[in-house]
Amino acid sequence: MMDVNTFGVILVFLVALTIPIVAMLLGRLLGPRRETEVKMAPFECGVDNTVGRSRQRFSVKFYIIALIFLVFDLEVIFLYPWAIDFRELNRALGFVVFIEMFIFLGILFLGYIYLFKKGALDWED
Amino acid sequence: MTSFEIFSPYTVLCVGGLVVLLLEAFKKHPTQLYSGYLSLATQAIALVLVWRQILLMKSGELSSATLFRNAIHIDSFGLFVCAIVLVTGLIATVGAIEYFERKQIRYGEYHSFQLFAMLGMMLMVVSVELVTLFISLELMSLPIYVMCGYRRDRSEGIESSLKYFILGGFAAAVLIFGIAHIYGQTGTTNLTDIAVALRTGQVSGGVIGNTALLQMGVGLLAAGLLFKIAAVPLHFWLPDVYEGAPAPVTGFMAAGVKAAAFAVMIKFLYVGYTGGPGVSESTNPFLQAPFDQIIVVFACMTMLIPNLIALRQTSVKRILAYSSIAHAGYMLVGVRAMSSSQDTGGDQAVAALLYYLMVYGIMTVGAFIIVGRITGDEKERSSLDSLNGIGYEMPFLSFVLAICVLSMAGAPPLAGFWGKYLVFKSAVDQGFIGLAVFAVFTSVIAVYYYLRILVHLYMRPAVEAVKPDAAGAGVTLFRDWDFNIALGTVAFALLWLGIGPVSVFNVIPDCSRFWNWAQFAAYSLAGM
Repeated sequence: MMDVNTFGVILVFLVALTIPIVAMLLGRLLGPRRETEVKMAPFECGVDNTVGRSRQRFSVKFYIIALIFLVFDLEVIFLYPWAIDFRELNRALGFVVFIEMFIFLGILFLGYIYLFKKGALDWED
Repeated sequence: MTSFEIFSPYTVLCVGGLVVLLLEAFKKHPTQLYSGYLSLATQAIALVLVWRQILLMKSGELSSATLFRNAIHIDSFGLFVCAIVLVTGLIATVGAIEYFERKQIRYGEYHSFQLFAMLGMMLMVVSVELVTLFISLELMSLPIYVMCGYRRDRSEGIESSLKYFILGGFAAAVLIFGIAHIYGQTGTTNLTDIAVALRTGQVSGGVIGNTALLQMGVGLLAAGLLFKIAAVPLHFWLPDVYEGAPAPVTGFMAAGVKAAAFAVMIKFLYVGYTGGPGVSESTNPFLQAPFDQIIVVFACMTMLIPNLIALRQTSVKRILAYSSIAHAGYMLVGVRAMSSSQDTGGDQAVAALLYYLMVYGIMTVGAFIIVGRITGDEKERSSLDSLNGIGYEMPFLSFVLAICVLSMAGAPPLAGFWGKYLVFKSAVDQGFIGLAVFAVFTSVIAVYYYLRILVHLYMRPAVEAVKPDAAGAGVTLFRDWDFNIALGTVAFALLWLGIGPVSVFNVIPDCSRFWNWAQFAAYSLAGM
């Protein structure tokens, strides 16, 4: 006899598999197909030349933005467990828990000021 | 002292690093001088604070402190290594200011990176908790990866940076894998709790889960640290990285990273593994494990192989790089002597290692910044021939380089001799006579390539085609005074640490005040 939870997981999985199949089938059956040159051209976000050698130069700005994103993304990851446990931590250790997180945020904010002044966020130059 | 005061050296370094970073963002003139001198001031303040704490601990007014819910334990051992890091960092910073001025590299972020790397090193040696240890290790490593590739126009710099980054990242993964196994089997990341678990087989929740996996964890952790100190056969990254990085960065890396990694290894093996001097071998089943033999094998290879390779090198920086691997080998002899703690013999070995680390740091960083200055630090001019006749052209630089190199070779009146003497003596005292003889034998081989540097400096005619950077091109704020003062300090320290023991006190090894400090620092580990 199958566990109810296991059955639920399998059901969700099946539904998740069915929906895109149905959607793609419906789109293919019902939608009009007018092919223009632009529509049929291969496309990749941020890449001008999709045909030919795959080794090509990217603007270094992409990498800088990715790095900045990574830093602030990780900041949020550290904030989550702190926020969830805040009530308990505050009771056990006092207000210092609040201050500690703001020291962390303050250091990251100084980093933000640095990269702002250095022009890391200027897209046009 | 409040915990804020005790933690103040670290706070000072962190704030200093951030201020330097902001200074770079807001600066009007393209210069790195102000950042450099701010960095020097920060390190000097931190050094004064650290030294004051050491003195207070020595006089008994201050006891060791545990901060941040048992994550950090500040004792005189940790403070002593912090002092080593700060002293070598100060010399390296002076070298870096001059170097970047000479090379017209105006990005002062370097000084911020160095402060953060030093903060990582200093936190690493006082942390007694494995996660804190790992985070500090990364805080130390990441800025250094960037510093290696600071000359972005040179492909060697990029190669050095990338090699160090990829291999260092791999080693960090091995290290944290070991930490995970240790945590998995003992349920704790606290060093003293792990020490108890290793000693007795008991953890707070019962017994150790699987001793073989725990052994594996300790082994992987040790492998990660052995990579950082570049013990053979984990040394292959080192010559290329040291050669490609700017010379002051190489000196900083060779001195600081090794001091920090060795200190952590000493701490972990001494406290965590052997369980301190009070524990006899028979009660500790983990001492029967083959780790001690592994350290002997590592030590022998690390002493012999780089010394043989260095004989055939022609680049000065590579010779010094191989010599720094060999020095790690000599220190591993001390680590082996320390691991076999009969009575308080282990303490003597730890004190000898601390003495060696300080001496090694000073002479290495001195030698690297001088070589960077003399040869101009370009790959085409890095051969030994570029030193020809420099002894008469730049007498002061060559004199200090000669002292550093002779000290590395272990010539008696200099500090390097006492470092080797104390480490090898501790090995003999613990009954490792064969190992000590082997160490002396390999250090005799090394004398050949050290003397080659001197021969090229003083006994070869200058070659016209090979000229260093235009002299005086690197004008710093004090017109090279700071550079000369730093080098004078290096020479003085090596002479003082070398001659002091002989002239002031006649009894060895209770010879100098410095040695007393080292011993005092070593005793603090036994009390953990």
